[in-house]
Amino acid sequence: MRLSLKPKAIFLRRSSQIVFLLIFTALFLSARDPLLTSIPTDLLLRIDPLAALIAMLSSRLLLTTFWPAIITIILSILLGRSFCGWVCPLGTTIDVTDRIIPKFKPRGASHWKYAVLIGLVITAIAGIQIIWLLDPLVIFTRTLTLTIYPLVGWGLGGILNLGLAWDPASGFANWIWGWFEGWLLPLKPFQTALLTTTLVFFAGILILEKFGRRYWCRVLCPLGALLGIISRYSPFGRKVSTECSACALCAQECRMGAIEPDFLSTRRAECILCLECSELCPAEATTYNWYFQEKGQAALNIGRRRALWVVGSSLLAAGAWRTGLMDRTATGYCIRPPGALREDEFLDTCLRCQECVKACSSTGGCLQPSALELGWGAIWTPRAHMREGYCEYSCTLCGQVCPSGALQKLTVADKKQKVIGLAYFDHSRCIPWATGDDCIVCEEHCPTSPKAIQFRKGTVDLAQEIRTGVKLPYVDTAKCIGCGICEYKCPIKGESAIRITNEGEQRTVKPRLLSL
Amino acid sequence: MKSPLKYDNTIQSTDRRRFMLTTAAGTAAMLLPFRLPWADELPTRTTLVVVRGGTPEMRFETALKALGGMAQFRPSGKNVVVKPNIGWDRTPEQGADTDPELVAAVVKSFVSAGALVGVFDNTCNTAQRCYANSGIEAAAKQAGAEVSFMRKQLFDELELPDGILLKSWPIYRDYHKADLRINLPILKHHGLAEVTGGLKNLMGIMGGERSEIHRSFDKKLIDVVTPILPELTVIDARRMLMRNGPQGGNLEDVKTINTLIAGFDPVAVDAEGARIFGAVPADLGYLVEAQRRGLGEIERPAGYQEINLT
Repeated sequence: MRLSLKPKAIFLRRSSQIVFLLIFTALFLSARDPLLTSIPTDLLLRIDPLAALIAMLSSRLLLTTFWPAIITIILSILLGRSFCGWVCPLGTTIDVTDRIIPKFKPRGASHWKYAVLIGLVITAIAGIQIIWLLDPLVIFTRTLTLTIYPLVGWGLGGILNLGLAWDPASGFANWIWGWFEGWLLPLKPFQTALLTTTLVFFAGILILEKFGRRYWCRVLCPLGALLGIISRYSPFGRKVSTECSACALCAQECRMGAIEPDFLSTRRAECILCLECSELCPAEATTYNWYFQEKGQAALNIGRRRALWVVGSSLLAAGAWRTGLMDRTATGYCIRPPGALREDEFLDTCLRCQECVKACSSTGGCLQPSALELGWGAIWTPRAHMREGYCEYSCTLCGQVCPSGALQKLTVADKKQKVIGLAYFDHSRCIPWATGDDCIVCEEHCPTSPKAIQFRKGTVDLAQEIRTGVKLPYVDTAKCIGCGICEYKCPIKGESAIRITNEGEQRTVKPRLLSL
Repeated sequence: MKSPLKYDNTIQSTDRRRFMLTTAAGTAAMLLPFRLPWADELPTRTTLVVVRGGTPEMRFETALKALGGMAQFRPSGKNVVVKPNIGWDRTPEQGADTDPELVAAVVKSFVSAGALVGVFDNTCNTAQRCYANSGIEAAAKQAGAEVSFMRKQLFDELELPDGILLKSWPIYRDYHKADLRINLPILKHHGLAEVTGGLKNLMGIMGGERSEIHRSFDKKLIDVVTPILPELTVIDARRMLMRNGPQGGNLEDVKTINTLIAGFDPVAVDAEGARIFGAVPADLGYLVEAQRRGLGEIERPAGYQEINLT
């Protein structure tokens, strides 16, 4: 049973959670064409100090795009882990789903997350960035893009389709569709790779609630760990007066396990300022106030043995990471978005948040997350699937919405010059070369001017005849930028008769601070 | 010997006159279709008009007047589709999409006559980029049209009874169910078709795997367009894309000639467009195929008129 003595404060906190969830969802939805440059669509990830730290450590680059993370750091220094309790959209989602998940008895040691954090830092120093696996803000954005957004689109589209088919409702359904079109419903069906993988991963985090409230935040979240360390000595927090009757209600109910056995002191590294204890307190002894807590907090100590374990296994993991097989067929067909950093730095800075995939789905629609074809280290990284979409010639969205700078912002003029690959014909399958029929769909769609795909009239040897005057296409390799619209539009079934490899791709090289 | 019948002079003379009159009238009626020399001088209805000079709006209004005016379409309360080319993510100056000013003029003209005008195109690049960057979305909306993105669910598989290679193809419902269809292409170069105007522009209301139409293009294009020909074709030749069509991108490939071609026969309008482009219409496979199947005439018709605005 929960007593509600001061509903105002909790209402304030819940409102904040909902408002931030709505803001971040709105920012997510605005990552589309036409992109309003005044809207920071990638803000959620740029306020993430952990993503900034790990990406900079592993890439040895100074990533200035993360400057808003300073706000989170200052917030945490002043107001403890209020980010976790008041802002984090994953935390909010967990709080909401918590109510529908029955519990085993609460347990779980909160120091595990510090071990996770240490592991991330060590692997980052060793040059491997795996923050994408465990950062809550990344997980939230990735889940929105790869599962929630397409599922909502399909569900809503399905209902509206029924409406369209049923005459009395078709006008209304048509109107609703027009209203949702573009921002909530994608213009063309958005299908994503790794939908189920991402969904299962996310569901797993929510199901952890079985082991207690905010299990993820309390036990595993590395961002929570970092903010906890920052806010350990914050000047604001829970304060218990002498009225305390030691009834233990607060310690029982605290979702973060932040209350020390004396009920008076608070582990500020754990407290997310949800304010519930101040409401529950029957003696009304608990308030939140500017108050330096001098003693009583347990030390942040994960234990020597566990520390050794973490360091050892992190180094081992980092080593194993680098020895994986990279199939040259797969890597050759791996087309990175325009403006991508050189592959090493790209893998180190790319958060796998899928912002670019979301934005791309509103234009050319070629970007999809990689599965395991490029190895474990590149799972969820964006690559262009030219059979699913193409890179829109005058579009620069992916670079605009990338929070980490793994994709650099390009001007439209630069984008039109940026080579991301090169088109090759397969004459054995290309219609004019193989059958003597005219086709040149590729030439029609080639966007460069003059066109990188040209044709000459030539002769084709067929089984029954020698046909002349056939329009035979070829690639002017000096003009091709690898946009892939030819591969996308090629009418041949299955593998296109013209394919893009990443031959000649132009990657952005930024000087590393440390060449290690 | 006296004749048993009384000879009646008056009756006989009347019969002869009637006989001569009917004979003359009959002969004249039989001869008329063979175009007697004086037949050309009879006022022929204008069916194809080329207007040069002036603004896009002036050109359209002039052409419409020459073709018999708006009243003949009885547009009031009708669903009218104006189908420009919005296929490419290009600006108006690049000459890949129909001139937005002309789209606005056509829309305005039909809206003010009481029609409900819809504007849409199945684009090659991303729809919203094409609609926005071509300037057509804003211009047509401003002029009073309902501009919509084409939806995959709203295509109907249309039977093509006269089709040679294709027996059915998905066609956009709002187009084939409209009361009146105005085809509003831009005149431009195309690698496969060489020059394109109205007939090729109808690919913009087709769904399905359109790139398959490229293989045996002439036959397949005519297969599909046969049952869905527009009532009026207006070719925008304000800017003409001479090379690197159909999407161009280089202003050097664009020639400004401030011209408009309009007419009822979709083949004749395209053929005239091809002449203006500098091509020989009888060399264009799809026009030859269209004429062979009786969709229209390549040769310049009797009702051809040229108007120069200054």
